[in-house]
Amino acid sequence: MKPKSLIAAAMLILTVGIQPALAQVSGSAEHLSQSVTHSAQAIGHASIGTVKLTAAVVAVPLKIVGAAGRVSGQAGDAIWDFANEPAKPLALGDDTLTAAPTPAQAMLD
Amino acid sequence: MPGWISRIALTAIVLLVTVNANAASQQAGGVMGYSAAQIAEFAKRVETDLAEKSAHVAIVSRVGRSGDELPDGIRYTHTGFAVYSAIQTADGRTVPGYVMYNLYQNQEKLNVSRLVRDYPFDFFSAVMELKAGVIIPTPKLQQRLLELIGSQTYTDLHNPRYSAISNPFDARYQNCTEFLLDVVNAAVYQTDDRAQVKARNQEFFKPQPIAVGPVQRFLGSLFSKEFAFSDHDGRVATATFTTIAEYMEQYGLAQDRFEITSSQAPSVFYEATQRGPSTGANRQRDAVHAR
Repeated sequence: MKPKSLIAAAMLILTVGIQPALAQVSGSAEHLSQSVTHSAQAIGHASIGTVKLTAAVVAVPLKIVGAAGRVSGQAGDAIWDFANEPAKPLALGDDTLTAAPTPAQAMLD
Repeated sequence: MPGWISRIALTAIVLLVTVNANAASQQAGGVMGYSAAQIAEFAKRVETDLAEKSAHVAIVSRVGRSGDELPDGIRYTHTGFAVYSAIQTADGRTVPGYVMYNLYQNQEKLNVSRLVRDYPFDFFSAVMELKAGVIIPTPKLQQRLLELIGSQTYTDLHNPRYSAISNPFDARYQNCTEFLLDVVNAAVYQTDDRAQVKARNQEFFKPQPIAVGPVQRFLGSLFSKEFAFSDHDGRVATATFTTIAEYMEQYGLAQDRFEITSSQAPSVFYEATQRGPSTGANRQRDAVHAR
């Protein structure tokens, strides 16, 4: 085989081999389409099959403080005093929440 | 350029396109995926497990490709923070639950990322396996993470220049796991100084080596924008869920580490661009970047 052919073969093999190998490394893709159920989400609920989705508008982390725990249920207030109380299970809602559409996306409906 | 080099290059491109088309054809013919009900149930189970362990902040990962396609040492394809929150719904209620804080790759510009908040159902949509890796930081670190995630520092630690194999010791590029590691170490060291964060990463963190030869580096840089090599000296290594878990366990930063799996099999056949219950044409899946 001529040198040119050897180089060509090597380039082709490496070129074909590189991308699938590296592609397996990546994977931070955003999963949920933002165009899924916007019309329904605009009024708060949507369904996919048997699942009722609830659109979430805004969320605020529930804070942890070292002072005596006070449960208020208000966003931003402490509900867990990790320093003074044993860990307790946290409350959860029953909703299956999904990201609400952006204003620009909502305007497309 | 000599003619024979041009011909080789052209043939290589044609072959590359063919290979990529073959990768996509697995979707074109359709694939088995999970139903919305299966994903919702699994997402709620993950939330419930976190809540039962009183986790205000947890690190959660997902599997966006089948396990036998993943390179050695990589078990998950995306990782983010789950933060226990008061969530206001579109119908005016406030419910407690977990919000996922992610660095997602921009699907229109593969070398760019953005910070996105979504919910466990969104997070696990279109996964290849109903499996989650979970790290629960110690309560003290959770508290620091909570303060940081709610501050400007969280946003400032983001570098939108995306590389799927970014070097966690170098600030030029970032992927989801490097960003997460940066946030963890900024919280640990209570700093907003990215240089200090990178220095601590280099001093204490052991990234996952990725087997990439020198010619592959050259060709990878040529043909794909999402793989940058200029931030790597010598070997290529990147942060993964597993290496972050090992780091946190080694230095007493983790309270718990576990995996949540489901024995359920995929139950729905999805065609073409779908891989899960959502029907949008722009629905994304992990790591189908070989296009």
